[in-house]
Amino acid sequence: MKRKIFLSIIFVLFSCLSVYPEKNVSGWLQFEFGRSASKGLEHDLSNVSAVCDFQFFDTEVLAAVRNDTQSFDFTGKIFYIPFSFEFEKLFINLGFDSYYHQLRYMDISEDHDVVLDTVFELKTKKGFAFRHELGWTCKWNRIYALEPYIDPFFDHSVSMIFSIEKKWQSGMELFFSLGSHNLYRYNLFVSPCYDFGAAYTINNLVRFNGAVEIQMSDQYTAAPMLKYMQIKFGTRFIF
Amino acid sequence: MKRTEKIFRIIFLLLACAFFTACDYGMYFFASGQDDADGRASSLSVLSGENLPELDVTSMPVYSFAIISDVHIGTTLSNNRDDKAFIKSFMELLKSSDPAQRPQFVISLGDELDSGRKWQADEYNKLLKKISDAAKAELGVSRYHTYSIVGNHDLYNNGWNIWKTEIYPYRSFYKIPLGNFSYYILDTGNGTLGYKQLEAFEREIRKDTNKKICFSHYPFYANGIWLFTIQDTKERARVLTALVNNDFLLLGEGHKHKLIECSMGDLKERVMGSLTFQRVYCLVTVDNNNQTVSTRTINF
Repeated sequence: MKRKIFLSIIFVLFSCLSVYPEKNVSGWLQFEFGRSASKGLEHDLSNVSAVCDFQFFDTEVLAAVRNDTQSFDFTGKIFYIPFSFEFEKLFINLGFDSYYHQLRYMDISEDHDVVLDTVFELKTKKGFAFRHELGWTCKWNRIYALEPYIDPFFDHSVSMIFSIEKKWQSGMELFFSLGSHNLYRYNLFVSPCYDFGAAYTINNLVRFNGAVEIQMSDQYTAAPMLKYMQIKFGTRFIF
Repeated sequence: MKRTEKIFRIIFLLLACAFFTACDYGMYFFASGQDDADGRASSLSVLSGENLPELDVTSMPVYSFAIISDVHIGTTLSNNRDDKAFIKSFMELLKSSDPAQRPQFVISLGDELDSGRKWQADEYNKLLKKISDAAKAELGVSRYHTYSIVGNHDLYNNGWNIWKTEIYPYRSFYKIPLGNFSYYILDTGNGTLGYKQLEAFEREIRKDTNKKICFSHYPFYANGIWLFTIQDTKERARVLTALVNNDFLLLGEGHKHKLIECSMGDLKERVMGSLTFQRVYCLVTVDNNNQTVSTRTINF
């Protein structure tokens, strides 16, 4: 498993370096440590993750890996913004993004998720940003023990994320998002993910962040239960 | 600025309206703190003595039991419930010429109460008394059990406080050992087993060499549907893998209000229709000698 983590980090770093010399390219590389609460299947688990993001012209590309003792996640994301409008006090961006996510869970199962979203972004010149993603998600789930008997599970559903953030000139930042998925979790719509946290950026070079990630069990038909809660701390290197 | 405020007020009002559309189920999001699978089902109870069926089904070569599901006492969504017709149909089974076809106990697959109210529990217990009186008269026994499972509707309005004192067997995660077969009853009222229940369940079934039967309110597979099943793919993968690898023959579930059957090797999954909405229940026949299980749907 350690080898897998190492190879994944090398892959992410390589992805960054390969585009860095291009003109009009910016990006960041982030390492994060997360610890989950004594709740749900990820009871008292620690995880590490690495995320690389780079932007060039109208496109943003992101690759992320996360690992704990039970599961391994890989996510790739492309965000394309063909329409940008600048007004007196704000910017509006319209675009598309797509995710591919793979989860390997012990020697029990694997998930493959594909998400296609339209994106609406509103950013004020005072540092407030609102983002809404709306689209469709498809999920394949293979359970190895059932393979002789049934086909892999397949289903699709609406995908939606609302997020807001506020950045101050001092470098301080607060953010919140609510969605049917986040970078590593792709359940169906009734188990939404909540992420909120704060970050501080120094000289536009290094950013430190702390965040809490929460997921409820079936929040539509059931008396919901806190299924998962994780506290995360990370450092981002901006280039 | 005033315009922005107006927009926010309208959005807030719309969200509030959406939130209270299901008023009878309570402000469940805020009020469900104590209704938590980790709290209710942290350890497995093993039923014994008076809690087992009076007739020694383990000595019978073949015996049967009945499954009812989603009774939803107090629902305003259907006026289809007909206790008289159900009891009449159940009586016919009890009078069956083949003793192996007479149900020796009943399992109810959750959502007994529509919104977790005390009056609904009282009415449900009246229905169980009718079942039990009929069975006692026909089978000549002095006790007759309906084993109930907790469902999501039972937990609304902090319904667990009512359920744990009023609904037999007053617990939500338990095992009924019956000779060569072990029956496992899971608590999926929150749409998840929770860590403690899942660990305890896996631990217990690994050391249990019997053939096994499992019941849960939420379906785990149901031919691959996603809504109305356990949502977390890791959790459902873990449970289904554990069932397939540990000699489970039947997985009975409710919640969906629709009959769905599928097969995963020796394991047969059967999602039941509702006793109230579809007027259907099921007879399960267990063959102790051949260690097989078969099911039959009964409409009334």
